[in-house]
Amino acid sequence: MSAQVTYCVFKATSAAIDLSKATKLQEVILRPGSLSIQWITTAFQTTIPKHQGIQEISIHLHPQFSLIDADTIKESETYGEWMDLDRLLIQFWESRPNPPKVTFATGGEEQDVEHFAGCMLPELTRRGMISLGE
Amino acid sequence: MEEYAGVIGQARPCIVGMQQGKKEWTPKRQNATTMSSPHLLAELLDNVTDHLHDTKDALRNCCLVSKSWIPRTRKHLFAEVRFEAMKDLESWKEIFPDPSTSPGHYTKSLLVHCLRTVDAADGEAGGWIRGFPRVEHFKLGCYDGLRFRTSLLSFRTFSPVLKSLHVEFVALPSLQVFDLILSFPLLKDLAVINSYEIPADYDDDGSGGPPPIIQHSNPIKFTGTLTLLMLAGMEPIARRLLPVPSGMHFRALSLMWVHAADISLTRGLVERCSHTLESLDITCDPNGTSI
Repeated sequence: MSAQVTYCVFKATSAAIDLSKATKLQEVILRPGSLSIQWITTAFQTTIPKHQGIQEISIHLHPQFSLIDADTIKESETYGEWMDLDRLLIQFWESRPNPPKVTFATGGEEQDVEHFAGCMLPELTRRGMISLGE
Repeated sequence: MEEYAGVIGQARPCIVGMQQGKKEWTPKRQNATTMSSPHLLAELLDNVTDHLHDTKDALRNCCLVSKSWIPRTRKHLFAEVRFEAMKDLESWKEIFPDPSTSPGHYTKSLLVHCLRTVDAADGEAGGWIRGFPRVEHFKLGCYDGLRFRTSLLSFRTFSPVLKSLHVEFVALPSLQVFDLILSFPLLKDLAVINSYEIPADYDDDGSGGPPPIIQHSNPIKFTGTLTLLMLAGMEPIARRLLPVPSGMHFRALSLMWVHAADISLTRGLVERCSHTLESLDITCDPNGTSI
């Protein structure tokens, strides 16, 4: 699969959504339009001190991304952003007595989604902290 | 009442069948008996019609039992009315020419997808729209790609108890839609959806300027779900919602980003709803190119 797909979409770069005051949040569903997800990490960073009530975090990627091979992803400039998100979600998960359900979905075959999750969020996947969605 | 006496005999076996868990309308004539009067206790009649709420044929037959049964069956028969095509609306107006006596008074959920057949007279006293004063959930759609010319003023304030408004247009007349939104003082849930990309210069119906915005003594609270899935960007609606004086108290936001401006609008919406927000759903349009 060509890496071209990665660059035909927009990048919501560092634009921050401040969730720090939304302390009643229970569910966050984010569907990035590209592999650039720094804005997701930035948004979750604003929830670290509080937000004990978050029960579910879902990240839904467009199915086209699951067709990109792992090497292409690891060479892309956005891969570091996924590692940041991986670390942040682990920190988020471990800091709560009732950790949220974290779901990762891209559509496609289950094994492809599992492989993709293992590539993009390796530590979360290795620890079994992540659920795979359709 | 004697003219209905035979029918009640047919209806009774169905009611027995319902108690056995069957919802099909299966009259059994061999068990038919003649009742001297079709009158039942109101509570019992309510129970019967409530059980049959999703069985249209049975409800229609209940209407034949007695005039006293009609209001309770109509409550379910006309709870949801859908005008998907022009012929649906024409039939309604032909069958129920007087809105004051039409069963639209029982309607809780109304769908209108044939906007081109709606004119100003429909919204005035005596127009069919005024025959739906108790609608709580209203879906309004216009799916053809032609320029929108029908005025939404006809629907303004038509149901003072409206809780949920779903507007889906190809070409969004955003000023009119926003005026419509503000005309329902009890509105909780709002969804505005563009099915397709619309011309960048498109905004309203070309009628010569925006209509006056309705001011309520009790401002709208917006306590439910806000859904803005607009392929031309959220700006036409979100920009007008943000300064609403009563503020916003949405519990759920479902938003789509197409342009860079959508991010700052999302930031504003989250900020305004931060004290009530329980669910946040953001979709970045994968076909977007501006961000």
